[in-house]
Amino acid sequence: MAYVTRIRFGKRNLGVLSPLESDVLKIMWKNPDSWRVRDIHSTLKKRRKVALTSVAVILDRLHAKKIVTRKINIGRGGEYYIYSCQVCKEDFQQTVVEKTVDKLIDNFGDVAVNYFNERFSKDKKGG
Amino acid sequence: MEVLFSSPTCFSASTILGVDKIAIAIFSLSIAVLLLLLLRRGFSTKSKIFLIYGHLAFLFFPFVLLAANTGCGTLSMSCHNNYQQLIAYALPGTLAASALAGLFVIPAFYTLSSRREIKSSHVRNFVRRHSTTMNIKTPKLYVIDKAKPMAFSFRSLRSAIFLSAGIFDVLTKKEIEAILLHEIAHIKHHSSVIKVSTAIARIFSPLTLIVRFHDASGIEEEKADKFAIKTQGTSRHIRNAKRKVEAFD
Repeated sequence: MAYVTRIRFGKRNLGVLSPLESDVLKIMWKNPDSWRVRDIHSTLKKRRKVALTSVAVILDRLHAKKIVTRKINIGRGGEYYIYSCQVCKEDFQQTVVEKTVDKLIDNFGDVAVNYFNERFSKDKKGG
Repeated sequence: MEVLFSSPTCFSASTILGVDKIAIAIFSLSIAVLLLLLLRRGFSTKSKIFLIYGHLAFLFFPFVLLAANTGCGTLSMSCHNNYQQLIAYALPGTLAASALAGLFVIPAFYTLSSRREIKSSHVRNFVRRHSTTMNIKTPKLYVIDKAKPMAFSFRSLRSAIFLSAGIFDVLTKKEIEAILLHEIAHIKHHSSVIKVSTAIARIFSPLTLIVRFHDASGIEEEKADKFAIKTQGTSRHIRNAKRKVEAFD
């Protein structure tokens, strides 16, 4: 389970990830097969300017957050990492929503609950 | 009242040590200073290692002498309460333990905990070829399960080079080769031994605070880089490799 420590909201990111982390995960979710750092970098650099070391750092962070797994693979040039998604997109979003709502309720109590009720009522009336 | 002291002159240094032994102690300390000053000269790495441990041995010899001569006669106390002996023997003992740890235990720890040898034939052949050229035994090659690009080596009972998996993710083939050449040079020049020895000297010898004797890290890194540059005919690969390693943080 991903552990939420900070919440950021924006158009590009997935709520608890930096923009680059979000972009990397979106690539991996489209094709959940195993990925090398270089493969993700070559896909990503078509859309944005990014260094290979930056992609490697991001994948390491996602691994620390237990969102991706990795294993060492033997190749001709040496031993390198193969990364795979540990959490699918839907489960990740579910986790983010659950943790976020839980945190809001823990921090704001009745204020948060009342707001959710109002919001759901509005949505219901709106159809 | 019980007489506690056996002799009115028991506190005199000459009765504790003997005048001849004081002279030996002073002579020993002088040799220690001389050896430290010699380290500033351009001796080979092996010679510098001997000079470092020679300096420490002569520096601690007076303490051992004190311990050996501080017998139970002093203050007529029981031998079991002779803390001076304990402290005096503890200093060279700690030094010996540190040297053993730095030169043998820590390299063995890394070797045993890595458990994963590099299987890539290209890397193994490259290291074997250049080790033969450098006239050293081919070091063992291990991969460390870390994303941060890093490489280090030990020269111990069996030399070894450790590379992280991150190095193969981030560096090009030529850059990896530059790093391997750099580490082979470290093994050839006993860099790990002199770095550990210099660190031990800095910890145990207060004289190293006064006399700047060997910038182990800087000199050893320069020598290793020079070897990589000379072998590849360009500084580009080693520079790029180092830049990428630093950029990872």
